[in-house]
This record gives sequence, structure tokens and C-alpha cells, in this order.
Amino acid sequence: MDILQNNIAIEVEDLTVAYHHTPVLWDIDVSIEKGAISAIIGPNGAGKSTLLKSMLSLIPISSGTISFFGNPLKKMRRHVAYVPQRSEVDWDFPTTVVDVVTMGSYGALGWITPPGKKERKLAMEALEKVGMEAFANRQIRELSGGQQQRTFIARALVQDASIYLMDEPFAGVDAATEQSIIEVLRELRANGKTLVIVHHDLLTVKEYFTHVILLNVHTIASGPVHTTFTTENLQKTYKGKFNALKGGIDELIV
Amino acid sequence: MSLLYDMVFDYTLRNVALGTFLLGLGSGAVGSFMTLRRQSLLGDAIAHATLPGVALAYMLTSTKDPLVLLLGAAIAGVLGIGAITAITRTTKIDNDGANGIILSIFFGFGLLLLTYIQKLPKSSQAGLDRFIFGQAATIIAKDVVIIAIVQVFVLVVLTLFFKEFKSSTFDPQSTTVMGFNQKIIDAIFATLLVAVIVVGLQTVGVILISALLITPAAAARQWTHSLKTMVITSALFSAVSGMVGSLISASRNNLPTGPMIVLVLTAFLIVSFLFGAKRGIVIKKITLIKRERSFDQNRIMLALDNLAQSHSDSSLPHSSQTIGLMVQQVHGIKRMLNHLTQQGLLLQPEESSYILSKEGELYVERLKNEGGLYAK
Repeated sequence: MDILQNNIAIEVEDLTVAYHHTPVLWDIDVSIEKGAISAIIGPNGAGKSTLLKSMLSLIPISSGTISFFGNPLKKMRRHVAYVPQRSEVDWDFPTTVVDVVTMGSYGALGWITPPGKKERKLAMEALEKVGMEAFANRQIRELSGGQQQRTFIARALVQDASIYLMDEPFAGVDAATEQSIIEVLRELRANGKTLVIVHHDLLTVKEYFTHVILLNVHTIASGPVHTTFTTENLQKTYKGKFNALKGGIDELIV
Repeated sequence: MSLLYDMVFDYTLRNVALGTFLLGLGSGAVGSFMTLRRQSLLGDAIAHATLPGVALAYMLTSTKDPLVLLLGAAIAGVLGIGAITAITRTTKIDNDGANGIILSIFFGFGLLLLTYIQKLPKSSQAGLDRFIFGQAATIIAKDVVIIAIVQVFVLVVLTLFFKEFKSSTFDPQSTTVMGFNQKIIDAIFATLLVAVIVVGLQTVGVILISALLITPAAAARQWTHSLKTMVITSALFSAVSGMVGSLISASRNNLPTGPMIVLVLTAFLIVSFLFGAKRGIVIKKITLIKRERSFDQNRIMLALDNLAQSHSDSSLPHSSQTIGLMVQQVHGIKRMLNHLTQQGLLLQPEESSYILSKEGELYVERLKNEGGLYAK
């Protein structure tokens, strides 16, 4: 566990990703401090989800290196958890909430070993943390958007990772769910975990995050919210579209 | 009944029954995952792709030994999967397109070879055309042993890797992040798929064997929301259909087996679509009617509460006409009022006049706390 003492949790260097010869991410350099809760912010098509997925080797990269606490992902899988966008899976899949959450233990179990009582217990504890214990035996198809999201987060909690990468965990959830999710995230941070979250709501950046990565194919800026989340940087990130957003946002920017 | 009698005492029919039953077990189980992975066409493509393998194996060895022919089929099937994967990885053609391309190319080539073989002087018809439509009556004890070994292998592997298949079918990306190599999982799955297809070829035939994979899975899905139950149900549907279909075919002047099995499978599917306990049309309709009724009842209860509050004397009953005006478009309002009275939620102090009982007031209280009209 000494490895995890490293102050830099994630280091992305010279990352370039292209789909059919069109660059989606171009020469990205990001370094994320241990214990930070970072937002990846940028307009549609900026490559936010792509950045997360390329960090996790889910899509091929054209060039660059990614390391977690100084090591390649291969060595660090047990320390990294991923929460995909809700829409990426088929919620009609025949299974229950507690089953999905138990899947978070599969990595630690390794090949073939089936989950048992211990894993089930971990799953129930995680469900309690996200306030979903009453739904444990529900079919996942019966869940609302916010409940699906909390199920996914519970599954990530079971993984007991050091680094959590989450793709739009607040998308399409109501205010109460958003509050309960942010509480869980803050608790994770209080326990020394590092969180990187693709986020789309500029209004909550200052309240929720310590660090921000402004992305639009290139890294526009990245660092602590109070120095990075500025009008100037947002204008660079959103270009012309930013003026339309600017109205109610002035007081939220540092 | 004579069919049952023959099944127990007739040696050939016993082999047929046992062979096709075992065949169905593995096919139905693997088929559940195939459909959930949205790869329904893959089984069909692999099956068709095996035909040139059978023909070439015969041409090269001049034997009809099933082991040799099935080995040829398996090699062609694996090549087919490889080609499909290569097409989807290197071009912009999607899965369906790649399946269609490989299916037709391999199958066309296979037919060409079969025609050629039939024209060979020594071929004596070779009997290879049974691989197209299937011929259960040709199952002998040796085939049953091969089928049994392969099916046990398939079911054991499926059980061992159940967790990996489950997770990677539901959420392949997270499964990869957790350290399970998707390519290995895909390869294991492809092996199982090729195994169940190849071993069923001469019984069911290349054209229809995918029905043993897809149809029972679709039928099983109607009965359960649990993956494990679905896999087991699908295996049993497939096994029973395979057995019944092949027995009918073997005992009636050698009707082609594949089509016969498909007919039995279709019967399972229709019954499941209609009466399936979880998704069947009937159960859905019943749920809908129940929901509508509870919605209407809730409207009546809230209307009576409303009436009670807006009158100075809240103990005054209200006529069914008044209630009917407040809750329009409720069918059979009198019957519903009577029903609510019987349940003790309403009191009927006078003929056709109603008021909330104490219990009814509690019910309304609960409704208001739990989402109003839509509460159950």
C-alpha cells in the first residue's frame, strides 16, 4: 500500500485519441492530486467521457501515457473503480439491485470464484450507504434514473478502490438524489479517496469540487477551482457558447 | 402413448430422445447469454459457416465418421467467428452486417462443395445433405456419447464462468476495468457456442439450429427476471422441444427433424408470450387492469374526502351521482362503491349514498402521504 502514498493519484501525459483519423483528444496533460475531487468540464463533444475511457484503457489511444500512483493501470486495477453513464447498460437485464452491487466484488474475487455471503454483506452495506437498502431485491428495470445511479455508485463502493472515475453521476437525477450522491462522494474524499467526475452543471462546480479540468479536445486549464474556474478559462472552453451561459453564473465564478 | 412406449423400449428412439434432450440443454443455456448479449444472429452465422467444413472434411478424408466431420465443422465455425470479428474491427460494417456476409459466403461455398460431392462417382450420396435440414433418426449410441461429453463440457464451463458471463453481459466496460479481459471472455463464449452448434448439426441441421439457441431464451425470458432461472428454464425448454420434435420426426416416416423441432419450440414461445408469468401478454393486461382499478378507487376515495371537507357537516353522505360527477370516466362506479363499502372503507347510511368510514379516512390519509392517486 506504500504506493498509494504518492501525492499524484493520476498522471496523464501527451494523451491523444482519434476516431477514424479525427482527433477527439489532443495532447492532454493532466495531473490529479491524491484526495482531490475533480470535475471534468467542457461542452458536448469536448471528449470528457473519452478522457475517462482512455484513462481506463477502454478505448485505444493514439499516443501518450497514463499512470495511477506512478503505475500503469494493469498493476492498479484493484485501486481503480469506474462508474459508467447510466445509459451504457441495458437496464432490462434480468437481475436484482443487490446482484448488480455485488458485481463490484468480482474484481477482488478474480476468475471463477463465485460471490458468497461476505460479498453479499458488502453489497448490502454499500446499498445502505446510498440509501437503497429497501430496493435490494428489486428488479433493476423497476428503478428510476436516480435509483439506477445510486445502484451504480453502490457497486463502485463495494470495489473499495482508491480512485473513482465517474461519468456524469448527476445526469438526470432529482435534487434530493444529487444531495445524497454528493454526500457519499464527500465521505469518500474524507477517507482519502481521489475522485474524478465528468460534470455538466457549471452552477455546482464551486460547491462540489476542489479541482477542475476544463476540456475542449485540448486541456484548456486544470487546477484548483479557486484559480482555474475563471470567466476567462470558461470562455476559452465554451468559446462563443459561453456568453449565452454567462447570465446567471457570474457570482459562481471565482 | 405408443410414442412413449417406443421411447422407452425402442433402441433407436431412445438414442434419439436422449441425444436431442442433451443437445437442447447446452443450446438453451448458451442461447440465453447469446440473446442477452444481443448477438442472436451470431449463432445462425456460425451454424451456416460450418457447412463447408463438413464438406471439406469429407473430401479430404473420404470418411463419414461423425468425429471427423464435426471437427471440420468446428474449424470452419471458428474461422467464421474470426472473420466476423475481423470485419467488425477493421471496417465500419456493424455486427449484423458482418454476420450476414459471413453466413452467406460460407454457406454458399458449402452448398457448392456439397453439389460437387454428390456428383463424385464414389460418393454414393455421402448423406451429407442431412447436415442441412437435420436427421435425428441417424443418431446412434456413439453420437449420444459425443453429444453427452460436449454438453457436460459446455454446462461445466458455463457454470464456472457464470459470474464473468453475467457481469460482462450486463456491463462489459466495468467488467474490463475490474480486470477481466473481455477478449478471453468472448473467446470462452465463442468456444461454447461453436461446441453446441457443431454437435447438433447432423440432428437439427445448419439452417435451423440457431432456433434451439434463440427461441427457448426468448420464451424463458417471459417467465422470470432472474438470470439463473432464465438460463435453466431456457435449457429445459430447448431440451424438451428438441426431444419431442425429434421423436415426432423419427417416428413419422423420417420427417425432417430441424423443422419439427422448430414447430415445438414455436409452441413454447407462443404459450410463453401469452401466459409468461413475468412478461406474458395476459399478466401484463391483468396488471394494467388492476392498476387502473386501484387508480379509480383512489380517485373515488379522494373525491369523498374532498366532499367531506367542503361541506360544513362532514358526516353527510353523498349520492353516487354526485360522486360520479366528481370522478368522471370511471366505469362501473356503483359496483366500485359497493366494493369499497364491502372492504369497509365506505359506509352506506342510505340507499346509494356513501361516506368515508374511519378506516376510509385513514386510507385517504395514507394516500396523501404516499404519492396520491398513484399509491398502491
